[in-house]
Amino acid sequence: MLQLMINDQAIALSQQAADTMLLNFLREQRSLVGTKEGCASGDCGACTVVMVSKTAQGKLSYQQINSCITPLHSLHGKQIITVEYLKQGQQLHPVQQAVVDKHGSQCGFCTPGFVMSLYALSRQEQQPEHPEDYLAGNLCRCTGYGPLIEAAQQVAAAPATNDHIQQNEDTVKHWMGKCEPLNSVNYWQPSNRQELAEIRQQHPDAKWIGGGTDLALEVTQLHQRIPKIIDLTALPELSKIERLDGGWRIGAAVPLSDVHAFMQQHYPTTDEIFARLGSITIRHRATLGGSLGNASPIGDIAPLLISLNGKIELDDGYSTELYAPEDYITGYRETRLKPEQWISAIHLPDLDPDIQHQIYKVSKRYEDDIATVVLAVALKYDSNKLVSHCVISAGGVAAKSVRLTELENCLLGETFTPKKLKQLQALVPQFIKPIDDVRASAAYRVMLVQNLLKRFYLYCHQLPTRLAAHA
Amino acid sequence: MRKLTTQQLHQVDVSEIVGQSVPHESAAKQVAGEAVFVDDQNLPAGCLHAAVVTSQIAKGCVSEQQLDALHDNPDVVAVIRYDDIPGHQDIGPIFPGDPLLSEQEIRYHQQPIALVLCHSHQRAWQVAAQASQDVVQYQSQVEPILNAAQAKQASNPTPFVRPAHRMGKAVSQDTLKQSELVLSGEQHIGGQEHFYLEGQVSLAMPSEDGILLYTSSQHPSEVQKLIAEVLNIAFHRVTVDMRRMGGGFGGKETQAAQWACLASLAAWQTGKPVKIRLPRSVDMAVTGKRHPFYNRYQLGVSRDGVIESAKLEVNGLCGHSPDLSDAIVDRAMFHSDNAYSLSQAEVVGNRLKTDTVSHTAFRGFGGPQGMMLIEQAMQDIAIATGQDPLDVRYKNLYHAGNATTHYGMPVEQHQDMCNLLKQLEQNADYRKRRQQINQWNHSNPTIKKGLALSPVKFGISFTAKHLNQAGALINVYTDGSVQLNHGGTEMGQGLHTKVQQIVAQTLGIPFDYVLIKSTRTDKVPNTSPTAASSGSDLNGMAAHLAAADIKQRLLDFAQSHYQVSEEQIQFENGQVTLGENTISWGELVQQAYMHRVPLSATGFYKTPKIWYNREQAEGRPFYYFSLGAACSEVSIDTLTGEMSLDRVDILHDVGASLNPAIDIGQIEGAFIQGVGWLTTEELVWNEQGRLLSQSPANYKIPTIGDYPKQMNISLFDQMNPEHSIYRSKAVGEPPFMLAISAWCAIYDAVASISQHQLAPQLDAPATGERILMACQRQFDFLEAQDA
Ligand SMILES: Cc1cc2nc3c(=O)[nH]c(=O)nc-3n(C[C@H](O)[C@H](O)[C@H](O)COP(=O)(O)OP(=O)(O)OC[C@H]3O[C@@H](n4cnc5c(N)ncnc54)[C@H](O)[C@@H]3O)c2cc1C
Ligand code: FES
Ligand code: FES
Repeated sequence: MLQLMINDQAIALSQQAADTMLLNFLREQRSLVGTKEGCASGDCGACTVVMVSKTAQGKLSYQQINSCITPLHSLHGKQIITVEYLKQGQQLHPVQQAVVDKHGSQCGFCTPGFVMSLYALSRQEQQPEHPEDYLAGNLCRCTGYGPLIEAAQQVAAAPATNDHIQQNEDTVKHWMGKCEPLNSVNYWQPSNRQELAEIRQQHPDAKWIGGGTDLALEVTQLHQRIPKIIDLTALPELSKIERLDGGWRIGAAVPLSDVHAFMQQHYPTTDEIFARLGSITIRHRATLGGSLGNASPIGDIAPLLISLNGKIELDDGYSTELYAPEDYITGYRETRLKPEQWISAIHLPDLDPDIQHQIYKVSKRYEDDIATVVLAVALKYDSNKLVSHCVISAGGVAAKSVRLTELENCLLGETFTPKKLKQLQALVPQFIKPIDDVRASAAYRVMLVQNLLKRFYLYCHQLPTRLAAHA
Repeated sequence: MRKLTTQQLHQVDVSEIVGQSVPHESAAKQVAGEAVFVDDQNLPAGCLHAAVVTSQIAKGCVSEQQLDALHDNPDVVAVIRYDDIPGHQDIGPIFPGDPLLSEQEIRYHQQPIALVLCHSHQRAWQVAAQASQDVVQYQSQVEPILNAAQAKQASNPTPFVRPAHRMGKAVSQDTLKQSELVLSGEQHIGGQEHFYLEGQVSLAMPSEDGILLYTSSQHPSEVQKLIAEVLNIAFHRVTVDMRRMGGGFGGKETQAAQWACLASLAAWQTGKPVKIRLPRSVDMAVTGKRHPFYNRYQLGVSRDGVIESAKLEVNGLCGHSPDLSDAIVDRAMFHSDNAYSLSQAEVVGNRLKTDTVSHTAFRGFGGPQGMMLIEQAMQDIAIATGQDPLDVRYKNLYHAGNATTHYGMPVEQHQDMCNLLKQLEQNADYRKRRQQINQWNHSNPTIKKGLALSPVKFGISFTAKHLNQAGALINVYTDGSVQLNHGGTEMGQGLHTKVQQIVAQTLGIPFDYVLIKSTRTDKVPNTSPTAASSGSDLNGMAAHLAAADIKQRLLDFAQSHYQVSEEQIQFENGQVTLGENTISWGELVQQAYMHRVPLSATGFYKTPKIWYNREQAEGRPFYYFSLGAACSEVSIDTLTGEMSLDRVDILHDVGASLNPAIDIGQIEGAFIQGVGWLTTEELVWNEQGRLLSQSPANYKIPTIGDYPKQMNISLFDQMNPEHSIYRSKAVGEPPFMLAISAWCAIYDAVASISQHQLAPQLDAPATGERILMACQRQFDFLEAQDA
């Protein structure tokens, strides 16, 4: 049985295709048509709903997600709140009223999605510094966003609304406590390694899923079917962040929003890359395992890991292996992952305080865009001001994320002078051969790598070069 | 930070509904998810879902369809092709050229070839996608023509979709050379995907009369006509119902018709209701966009920067068919002066044929592309003459004695235009910030700032004269409630809200006594598209006239029935004062009914004053001009080309605002949409003519993070001198062009690298890549100078 609570209705389903997305289920099977489809690819947010899950502390957490690319089964045991649930009788919910008061809806097609992101915002215990960040996953073509920014500020200023949803929390928790593990013939959500290994053996043709933000596109964009899916998010080993000797182990299925919070604290130089990876809505579902699973050459995670000397842990239920990312990824969307293996975690050594680390992402649009180029540099000087450690990695410049060892070698043992920088920049065209594509030309990519090296150089010499963070 | 100033000198009386910031008529439904779009309607029993099989080549022909094989697929209910069309096979809106389905010839990538019908939307698109790839066989003949250079090649036998047009007398090189300076420049301007949040959709229901069609279209009457022609039946057998669009922006003016016709054709052939809804990537690939343009100018300019003669050429890349391109390129030509006197001017407009989707209406309708040319010229003149661009703009503004456009229309509000600029210059603290920016640029090698203040003067009216008409129907029921239909369509712009305000005001009843129903071809016939910003000007007036008609009947009735004189009668807020007595509006209506007074009326309006002789390229094509100006400040990163919009000040003229909140919403939304067009929104076709940017994953419209760090918007306090509805002005399109100030600011920031010695080469959109390349040319210039 697949058990869900949609608004205040607990439902149990037995026959659903593994690749049924929540949005289609809501609109077609539940007549909940307030939730809209604008793209079916996670980019527009018209389909935003709020997912309610129980935290380790036994509280309920409220997070907005893209229902268009979330497989129904992956929500087993969770509550989903849709726009229809907010209004009580004739009384609009305060987050809805805020949108009306600020004239935040014009055509109204994006509006339910914005309302749900605002609702998620209103349920955060700690209000964010920039409440409008909560709306970064919602596109609006009509309003130009001004009124919606004001609505977010109004909601953040008075968030504690003891609404009917909060009043119903005990019932929801009680229902969650009673939910049985998912039992389905085409979608598995095992909670231990051995069970997982067995299911894998029985269903070698099933696909792994983390958050599904990438996998789901095969269904919604390429019009393919995925008959069988194995979900990795219920394994405790994959869902926690642990302290190891001299570093950390981050479960491959921890949602990126949690990874982001952790990294902000322990690896602050990576903050921007996470803040700009997809949207907040995407990050509530997306995982590290998913990013590395398909080894996309334009993913942000692999270059980041390379620069931090991270390792990827693979598991088959019996034993684990560790790989450096540059060894794990072997070619265009090719990896060392064997069919029986899954990615279980990444390992990050503590950041040496003497290392200067920076990671830069350049994309056509600042927020929620795939990188044109990612460049990460980690560099350390010895007591003689000579470079003693250097890692340079890049994404968007080749068929896979790469480590630019030739450039590193040019710096190792040398002083980083303006002349050295010029030399380094001159080497770039020899060692990267990017392509022209929809995002940018090869020539621009080469120039970016050269200039980002300069940006790093200026940074090391305390010369600020960045535009102030966007509004 | 966002600051709005809506207060107007002419204080609006609180008892008046017109002029108040009434929330959008559907706002409460929209936030609750209760506003119904076509795809949200309950599916009628037995409804089939349609999907299109589309071409995988851009130019050539379908050598073999082999689509019969699809019948073997148990999920496929029917396949519909060219031969199944009983009537017209071409749905070109004005000129022919738009086949409903391809017979054989392929003119653009993703051209629809056939329709597949299944029991579910998902299944239909799965089958269609697969058939497009694997079942249909193609024969590709020649490389597609995709840009202006290719189209203009002498060897191209069909360079144009429509003949070229010229305004003004030919300006010779000798004439240009009479000036102290002769400047020239060129620009490529990219197109723009509409990205309405609700994609194209239609639901057709067969009925005993013919077809009832629900759609998302800006032009229900044209959809009705085309369906009837495709089915070969009389127009009266087709009814089109359109409640609301999830955005239109011009993209549903002509381009909604194809899907409406296909759904109707399928419903006609199968006898079943049929729905078609385009998935986003299909929508982006198969529908036309804002025209890309290639423009050139040559100017004779005095030493102090005044234009003395101008030779302008605008080239619209139209795609494979005319669609609305003739009028669009004309509008680019009409606006190639923007707010400036060109003195002796020759403007030539070419309509280039390219092998892509047929480009179409998009907010501004060619006007923005025309204006871009002259605004770049202003920046270039400033560089050539060593002045602040704002001063060059002032010097060239239309002014007394020099206030006639290149098509012979007087610019009556030229003084208002100048005052508006001056007011914005002050509000925005332009001169001081110019100095600060100069200082910043002097001391910052990497981050450069730019500033630009540019005007907008946009002509209001359809340039096709017959479209400047509108109708409305008002029914008053015996409880006093009022139902209103008019010919305009609601796409988010707040048209219904404004018209509802107008009718409530005219009848002296509360706003919510009036209910606006969906736009239906059986309520108000033969309507014009909701376009050219004319929605409330035309339909507001028609509805006002219908309401005034009813009010007059009630006045006449009340005078005789209650024995009071007309001066003693007042309608206000649902109460009717009759001398000493007051009765409710409902009671008066009830009494009028009992005394057999007709309580239904139609209204009709046609715009006065306008005429245009295209042969002579002379006339008054516009009833009036809407004015505005914006001042934008940007920073660019000269290492990466990244850009941030730091501050925007807008002063815009909406006449006496019908609804300041809605007008501000239009201004702000249009501005941001314009910034998207000129910065991050880049359409990319590959050499085979396939659109690569066909998903929001790789076509980037602005997000909330792109909102300017500081945004100040004010309304210009001036009534429309023309007798428009309550002296308001149109607002849909004009503010879109305020965004040109942001592009000019980037231009300014780039030029600052060479201390404004070298005019940048910066095509639009100014993506990070283009900005960086433009910066690089400046650095190279400096290096060459040093050497
Ligand atoms: C709107 C949008 C924006 C995006 N923006 C960015 C961006 O800015 N930067 C970026 O890098 N990426 C971006 N992505 C890509 C992608 O969503 C993320 O990389 C995300 O981290 C993928 O994680 P997931 O858990 O959702 O993957 P899933 O979709 O669950 O899986 C992706 C692939 O990996 C496999 N897989 C999943 N988990 C594992 C595992 N533990 N072991 C082995 N294989 C596994 C799956 O079988 C599948 O093939 C974006 C995606 C969307 C839809
Ligand atoms: S429909 Fe666009 S993000 Fe889901
Ligand atoms: S109101 Fe139309 S897209 Fe937001």
